[in-house]
Amino acid sequence: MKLSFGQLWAVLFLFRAFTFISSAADYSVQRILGTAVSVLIQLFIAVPVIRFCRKNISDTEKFRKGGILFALYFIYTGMTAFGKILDITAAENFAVSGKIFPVVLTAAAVLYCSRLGLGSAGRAAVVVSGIFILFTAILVLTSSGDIKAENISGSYDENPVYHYILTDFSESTELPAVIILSLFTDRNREKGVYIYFASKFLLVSVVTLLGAAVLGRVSALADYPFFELCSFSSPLGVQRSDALFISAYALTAVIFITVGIVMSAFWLKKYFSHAEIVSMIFMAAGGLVLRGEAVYTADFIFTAAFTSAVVIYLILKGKRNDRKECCT
Amino acid sequence: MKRADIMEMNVHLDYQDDILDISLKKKLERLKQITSESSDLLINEVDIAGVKTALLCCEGMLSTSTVTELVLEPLNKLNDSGMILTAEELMDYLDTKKLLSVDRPKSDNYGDTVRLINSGFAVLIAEGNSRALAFGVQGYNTRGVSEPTSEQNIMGAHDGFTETVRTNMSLIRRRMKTPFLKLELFIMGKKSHTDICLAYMTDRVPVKFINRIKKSLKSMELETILSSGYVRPFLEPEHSGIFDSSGVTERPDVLCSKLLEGRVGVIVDGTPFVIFVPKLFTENFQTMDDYNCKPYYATFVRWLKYAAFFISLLLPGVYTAIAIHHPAFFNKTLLMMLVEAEKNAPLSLITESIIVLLMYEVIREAGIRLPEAVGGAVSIVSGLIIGDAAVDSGLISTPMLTVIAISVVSGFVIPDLDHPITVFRFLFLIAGGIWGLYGISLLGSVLLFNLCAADNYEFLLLSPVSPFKRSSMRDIITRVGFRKMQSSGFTVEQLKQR
Repeated sequence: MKLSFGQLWAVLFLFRAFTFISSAADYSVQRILGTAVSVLIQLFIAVPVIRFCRKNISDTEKFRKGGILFALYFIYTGMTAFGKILDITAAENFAVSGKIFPVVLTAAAVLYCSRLGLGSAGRAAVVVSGIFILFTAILVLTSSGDIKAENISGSYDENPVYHYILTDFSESTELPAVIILSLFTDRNREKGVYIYFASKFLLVSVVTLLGAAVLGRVSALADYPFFELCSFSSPLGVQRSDALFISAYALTAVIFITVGIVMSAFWLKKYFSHAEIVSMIFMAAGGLVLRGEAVYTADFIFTAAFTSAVVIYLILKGKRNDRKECCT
Repeated sequence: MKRADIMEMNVHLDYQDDILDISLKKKLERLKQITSESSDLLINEVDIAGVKTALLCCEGMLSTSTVTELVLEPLNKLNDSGMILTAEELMDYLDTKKLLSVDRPKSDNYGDTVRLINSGFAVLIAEGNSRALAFGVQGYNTRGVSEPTSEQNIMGAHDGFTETVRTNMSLIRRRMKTPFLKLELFIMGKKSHTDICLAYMTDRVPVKFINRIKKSLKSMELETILSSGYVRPFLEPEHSGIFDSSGVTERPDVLCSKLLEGRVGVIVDGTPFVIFVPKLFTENFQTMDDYNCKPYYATFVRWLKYAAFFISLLLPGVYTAIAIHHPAFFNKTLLMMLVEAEKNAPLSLITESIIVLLMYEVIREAGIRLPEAVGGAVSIVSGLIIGDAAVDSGLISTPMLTVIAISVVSGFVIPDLDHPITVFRFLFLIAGGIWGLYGISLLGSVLLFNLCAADNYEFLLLSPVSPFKRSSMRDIITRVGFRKMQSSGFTVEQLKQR
């Protein structure tokens, strides 16, 4: 189970893309500033830990016991993903709206994909990230005709910058994954992480700026501003192309949940023989129970809690390895 | 079945490794028993140089003029010379002092002897000796080298492989006169004893890879091997994916280009389709003609094929999904046109599309299986009666028929992917019709994951796209010119999973 740095970047980028598309936060200049600060903070948390792990933790097999923490984290992210899929399929009138149907369909697809392993997920993520970037470029080009400079302003809800710092941090539920997945990356893990943070900021800031310029006040009123922005884009003279981004959303969701199942199963295999199925059931059931509402408010707490727990665990583990090597 | 009959059958089955008897009479009796006195087994008993011998051959498998000129005349001259030899001396003389043919295998067991007779060799056995000498005088009827039927080219060569393995070997050797080209013959198939030839470049293919392929071939326990389709599953992973990880070609020039890239060819006697491993997904979009025209045109055609693949696979499904679930995607004019066309259709859009697609598949299969004389009727019936009449009667709408037609014609551009496209086109149609674009995306992601997971002998099917290798992409995104290609020294080994 190994990723190249390009695959690491692709997986993490799609993680963030999924949470960004699913975000209900409005588009404003404050959001861009808040994102910039949040990205810097995350960079200062993640990179030193990754460097520490590179020097002190060489074998991911060794922390199967403590890996239950990592398994729980990935199950949690899967739960939130299923919850968001339920909310968005209902709100955006996908053909699969309903209480259970979207979850069942998605669960069937991701269960098959997760059986193929992390390598396949990494390779698929590279292709999907290319498709996503292409679709985003189409969105930018085709919506640019509706840009109005006077729409670009501060937050219509008069939220301060620190509100958006917390928003971005809450949405960045992939932060522990940045650290954990880097352990499964052969070489140049820091390169992959730097590129990821840069591309994440680029994605959020470009789409936010475009959204602010095109939607204006509407972004604060829409349930999901990304889909609202897509409805303004009309490539090749078609009326609206938000249907196109349903495909992009579905692909990012599959990668998001599949990687979560693969990673959680890696640690749950010690306890369950069909760990992928167990993980998927936990995620789907959790998503059905929690839905979106309860999860959104708890996102910041869970993200902070998991990030702290992962960082502390890895530092302790690394220091223990250090002491063992000194003693021997 | 009686015990005596079973015992008799077992005698036949256990002959493979039995050493030839010394006595000529016993040898002949045993051979008759093994072949059940088959009518095409010709036995000519004659004394040569004082030794009782028998010349055995299979009627229809050898050339009468060749055997007369190369074998019978020299043996008769030997007799006329008055020499008297022992059996041992005679066999040694014929083996080491006379060159009666260029292909002269020897045998000391019944298994090889029977196989040689059935392969068209003339086999000489003698009283008092347990050896058999075979002379290559084959002359069975074979199809001549002609243009391949399945892979058309405009500017490429017009010769194709035939059903004879040795002819195919010569077609490759003619193009690649390098001593690094190795052609290794095997015999596989317990009953058919089919000749299989491994072709590879010894300076391009690692020994480990060859050994793995040989191991895969040896794991075949088939009784007969009648076509390359029997062998291919053994050269692919046990749980093979949706797309082929081994390829077939009817063209010697294509196979030579694959061999130069470090792949291994497997030539099966009895079929003109030669297998090569490994095969990458992107090769389905490449043809020999790409390398016979200017790079800019080849690049254009290649991108046309990429687009055709997606159109063929997705168009019916996407059209149905958008028409049913996301009609706002269409602009006003198009939407009104579709409404007008569909409003009088008695069937739902999904049903209509499935019926049209099924009818196309039935017509296509009928076109392949029908004799040539009747084949023309297929186009009349399908085109005029089904297509025209169905639309005029309002049973099927024109836009739907147009969409299906565009989709199937696009599929013709990439015949190698015909099978997966045919099946998955239906699946995407159902997914799109029921679950809209979300359903199509989920199915698409499953297909993508399958493609990303597929590998054969550690060569990933989707490389060099994923895992990405920039230097190898120049023949994927574009068709790089020969001046740049000549120094690249590309082999498929560079794409191997590490």
